[in-house]
Amino acid sequence: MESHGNVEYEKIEISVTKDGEIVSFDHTTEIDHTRILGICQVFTDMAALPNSTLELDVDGEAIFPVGFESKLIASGTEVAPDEKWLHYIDRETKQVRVKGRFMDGSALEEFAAYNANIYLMMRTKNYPEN
Amino acid sequence: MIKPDYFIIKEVLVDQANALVEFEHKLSGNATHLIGYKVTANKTNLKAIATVGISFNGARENTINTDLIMSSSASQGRRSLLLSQKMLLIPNSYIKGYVEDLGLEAPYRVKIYFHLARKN
Repeated sequence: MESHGNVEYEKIEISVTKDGEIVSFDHTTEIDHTRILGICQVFTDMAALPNSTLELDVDGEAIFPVGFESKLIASGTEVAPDEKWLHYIDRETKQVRVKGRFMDGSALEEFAAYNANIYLMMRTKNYPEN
Repeated sequence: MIKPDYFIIKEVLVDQANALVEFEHKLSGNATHLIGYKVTANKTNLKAIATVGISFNGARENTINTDLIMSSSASQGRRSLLLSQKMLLIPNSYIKGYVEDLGLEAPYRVKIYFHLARKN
């Protein structure tokens, strides 16, 4: 977890070690975080991005369905950090479960292990209300 | 409590040049608003390869030239999500549409993403 004023970040680590691997995750948000403000995904190897997909549920409700392409929420260094965040998921939370599966679709001739970590931008309980 | 946005995906296979492939999707009763939509394809070429037409409840129609909204790179993919004004959906709304190939790239698959909001 990293802190940035009244916003903090939670990281869901996704390590892909073999071609076509499916990585499941089950993350519970922290008790001091009251709202999910944004989401993004960061690939350590952008060559793995095309055709990779991400299913994601929040608190048992499907947000990204089967076949949702990671390229809709991922970006490289050409996008400024503040612009990376997509605010698809804006909901109150207190230890909600964020579950899902990442499916490697890279089909590279020479596969190399990479990470496709998911980051959640979280509002803390001290966040100033408008 | 605010419910999170969610997505549905309609996937269309365009298997031959100049094909006209129609699709239809009836939304569940939980969907209250359409927030946006986006088209992607499994071709890396960003040139216009098809036209996608979408109608909502038969009342509104949008025809989209895919080179404006379809993309393969991450940054372009993020920017090209069309966020229109939220459209209120009546119960049992349906979406109809088509993909019309321009005869350049088939076969390929097109995914049409609909960005929706749920009932509270």
